Amino acid sequence: MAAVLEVNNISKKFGGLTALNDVSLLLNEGEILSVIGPNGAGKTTLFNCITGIYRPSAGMISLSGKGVRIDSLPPHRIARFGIARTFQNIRLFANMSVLDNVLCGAFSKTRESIVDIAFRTRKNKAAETAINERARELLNFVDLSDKLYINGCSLSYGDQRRLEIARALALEPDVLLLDEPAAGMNASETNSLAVLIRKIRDNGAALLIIEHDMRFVMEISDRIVVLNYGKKISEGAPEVVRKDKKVIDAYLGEGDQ
Amino acid sequence: MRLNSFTGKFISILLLICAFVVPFISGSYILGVMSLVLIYLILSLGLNVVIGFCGLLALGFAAFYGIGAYITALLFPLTALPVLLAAVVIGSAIFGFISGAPVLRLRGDYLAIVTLGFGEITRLFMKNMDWLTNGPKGISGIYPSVFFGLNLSDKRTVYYCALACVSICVFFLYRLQESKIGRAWSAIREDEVAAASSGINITKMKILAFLIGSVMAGLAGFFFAVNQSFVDPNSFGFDESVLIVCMIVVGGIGSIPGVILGTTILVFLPELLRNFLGGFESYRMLLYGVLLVCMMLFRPQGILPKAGRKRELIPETEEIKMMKTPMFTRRETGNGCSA
Repeated sequence: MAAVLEVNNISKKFGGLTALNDVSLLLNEGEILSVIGPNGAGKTTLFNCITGIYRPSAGMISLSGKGVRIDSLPPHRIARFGIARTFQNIRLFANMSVLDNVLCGAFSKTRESIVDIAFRTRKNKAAETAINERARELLNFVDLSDKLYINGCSLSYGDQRRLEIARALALEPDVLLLDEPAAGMNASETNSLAVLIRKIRDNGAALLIIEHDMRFVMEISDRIVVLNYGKKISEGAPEVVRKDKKVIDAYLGEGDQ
Repeated sequence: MRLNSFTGKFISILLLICAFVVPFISGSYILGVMSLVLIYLILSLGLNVVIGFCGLLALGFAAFYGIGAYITALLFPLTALPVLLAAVVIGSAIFGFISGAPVLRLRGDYLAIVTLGFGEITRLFMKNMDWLTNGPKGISGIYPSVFFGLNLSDKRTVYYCALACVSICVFFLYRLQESKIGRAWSAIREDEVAAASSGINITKMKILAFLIGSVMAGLAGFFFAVNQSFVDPNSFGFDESVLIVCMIVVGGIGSIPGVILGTTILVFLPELLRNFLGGFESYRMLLYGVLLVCMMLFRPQGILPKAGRKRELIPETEEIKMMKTPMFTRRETGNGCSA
């Protein structure tokens, strides 16, 4: 299995606080890798470093397949290289329809100029038709095809999560980062989310997932990376990580012995 | 109301016909006021791209208006009309870029403060660079030479040219709004981080919005200068910037029909006051202030709001209320939807 995303010895400091300390991980093709850890362990900071929202203080992040180093690129360039993400606090575009939200995700997929748009050239029409079809396909894929023209924010919570995933998929990503996708979901929503995530993986994307719902993580992950206080403390298959003493200590506190 | 819907098209054509016959049926006074409406329309539609479409609160917009007017005033004796127009467009675009590029990385309040500063700096330059701008006395006698029978010293010609300019602007603005650029602007307005993570180059799109806005303001300045054949720095001060923002807010931020209505109302209002309530015209600014406060209290979305914004202000649906129960709110903070 070839790696798609390589994170090498990343550190991120905010003033005196070290949010990430020398963290490395490899994401392989077609893999579902979960990042877990107690609150404040640096999971979201890691996501923000990978997607360019933060610039890491040290270390290197690269897309192995494409041979590009992405740790000093702005977020939109990283997105265009095929790294898409969702957010811990769902960040949909308010006051826009479900369809428009996904069309925004496909922004970089068409190449018409402002002149094409002003004079509505054939190129512009073709591009609009193409991304509209693609967006509808994606919304079908996440089971939202009957809600195209509803305001994204009036969807139910689970549907908003699905819409955010559809928007991310519009980038046609090789790597999809999901930040707590199951947060606030009930059991049946979580189950259908697991089905969706597997479908995305089967379509060829690798997934990096932050999640607190342990049952969900254990069920869905190929591998798990555990962070605590910005450091990687464990890595491996779910059954290995589950039994790792360091992980148990991090979650439950060290026992007196 | 969309231009490509039947009613939208019908109303647009009706308005255009009305605007077209105005010079035939009215005296020079009404014509003058209508010209002013058209000039302000170019200006407010331009600012609407910046504030309404892209969500950038720019407060010194009158500076670009002034720059267009001064370029016209300074260059009209030297060149023919097309070159003059090109100079206005390019000049205001350059000023838009110079002032926009460094500050567009700022957000919200900071951008408002910096653009406000830029507006004041421009006005002070106009006032104090006597050798170029003739200082506070201004420049008079702006009569561009006749070009292929197009005599811009004639008020009717100015009116029709401004009308053509407004129509073209409205047409293209609708197309932009409905395109991927329009969607990208909305995305930036709603959530910059999510927009950037969706592959949208936010700096580039903001500069584009700023450029379109400043070029339109420059064109408005051109028409202003040839229409009253006189420019002075006082026409482009902070009052003017605030007035343009008012026009957008009253009509409905981001809504093209709304901005057209808001602008028309705010240009006609002081004229009505002048005619029917003589002596009250000096209370113009007070009246604008009261109007703005009332709008914010009773109809914050504007008179003709954009479809999406209307939803923002309707009462919460059961579903949204349910989402705000403690179980959900835990991770809900920061979501654009719940804001």
